[in-house]
Amino acid sequence: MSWYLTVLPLLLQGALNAIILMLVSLLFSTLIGAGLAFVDLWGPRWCRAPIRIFSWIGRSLPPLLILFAVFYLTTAAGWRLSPMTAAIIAFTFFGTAYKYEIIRSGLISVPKGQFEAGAALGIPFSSLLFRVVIRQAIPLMAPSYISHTTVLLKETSLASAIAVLDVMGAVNGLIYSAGNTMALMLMAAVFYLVVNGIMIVIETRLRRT
Amino acid sequence: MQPARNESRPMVSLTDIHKSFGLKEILKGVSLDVPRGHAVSIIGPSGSGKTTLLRCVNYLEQPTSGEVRLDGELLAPSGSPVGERALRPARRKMGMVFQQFNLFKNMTALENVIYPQMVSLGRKRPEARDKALALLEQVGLADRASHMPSELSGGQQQRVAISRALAMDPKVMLFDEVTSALDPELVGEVLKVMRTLAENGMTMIIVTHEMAFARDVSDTVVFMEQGVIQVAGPPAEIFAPGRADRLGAFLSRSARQGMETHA
Repeated sequence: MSWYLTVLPLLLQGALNAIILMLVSLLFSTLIGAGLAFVDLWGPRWCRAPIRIFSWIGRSLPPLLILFAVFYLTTAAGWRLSPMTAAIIAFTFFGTAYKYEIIRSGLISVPKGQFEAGAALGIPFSSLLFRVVIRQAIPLMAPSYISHTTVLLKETSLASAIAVLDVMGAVNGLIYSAGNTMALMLMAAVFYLVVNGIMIVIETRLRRT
Repeated sequence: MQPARNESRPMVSLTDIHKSFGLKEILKGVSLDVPRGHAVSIIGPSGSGKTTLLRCVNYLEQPTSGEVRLDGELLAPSGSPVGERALRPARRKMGMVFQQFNLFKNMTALENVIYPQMVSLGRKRPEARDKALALLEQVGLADRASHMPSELSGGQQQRVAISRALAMDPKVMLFDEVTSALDPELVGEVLKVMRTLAENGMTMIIVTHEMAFARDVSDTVVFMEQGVIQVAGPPAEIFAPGRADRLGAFLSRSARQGMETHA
């Protein structure tokens, strides 16, 4: 019993941090990624090259490298970011690159005829986008969007490298201080299974709309 | 500025329309007047430019040069690119029906007919809904109003698409090979709706492969080939037997194909 009292506060703190990191960076990367996808597809042509270059960098570099870059480079520049803020920025950076690609491919899967019908009926493009195009794109992009989001949750464990206490960071510390490795690993596993399980349920919902 | 209503002025007037895709010139100077209340059918082999011409009428394809007038009003200056927003008022006065129906797949049949009225014409929902229900009734689909497009047959989808276009109270209806994607047994129900429209005085431009329909319904038949209008005239003249020109060759070719597909 006392063993649980020792480990639980730290594990729950780790779980909370992991969830905050995932949800905040998920929110930002979805919004920015969607914005980039719209601009890429329907915005000025000169925007395309910089967006593609950003996507190439964001998807090519290891998340850990981006994490270090954000944390240490800002510190070197005299800009003191908390580890959590640095982690959110790094996760948003590479998360956005993936979400942009996923949303873009969802949008271009909507048949051209839907756009032509809208144009022929004199429907303003913004209305068509929100009432027709995005709604048809959501079920198309749900599987890859959620797959990437589950990866994002697992990658929160990297944040312990810049001293953000996440679930695996907490487990790692407790193995040495409190012992009972198997129980600790099991609890971490349950956390990931439950949160990503919810993601997978959301996916099946989205696919059906 | 709204030009005064004038019965003798054509509803749609095309002047010297050219359209190129890259180096390939699809339309090589087409002029055509469609009088108010007339049904004009455009026939011709595939690649003749007839669908491109129809799509130039509402600027889904922007003509490389040439003028389109709707009821006397110029859509855009010849040859200069024009934005979506500037085209909207004219497009709202033209109904278009597509080969692939293009119903909004995330909306019910009824919502497909309501939504454009509300967003493009600013109608309130009750008014738009009444109009939509009346139109679906007219095309025989009152009992399918709450179905999604994927739950409807091709012929039913196409009739919903016609209702959606009619709900905008268009001055002209543009039909782009609207029966080509349908199973043969579903073609009749769509043609019947179009025939009624023509009889009620709707101005229509119809790109079609249905020769019998073109002959029965049209006031004028236009034969296009290689990007130009080769012949235009009343159906009796166009379909007169024993023509020795390119039109005659095209007609006997499509009659042969028609017999093969119906055999």
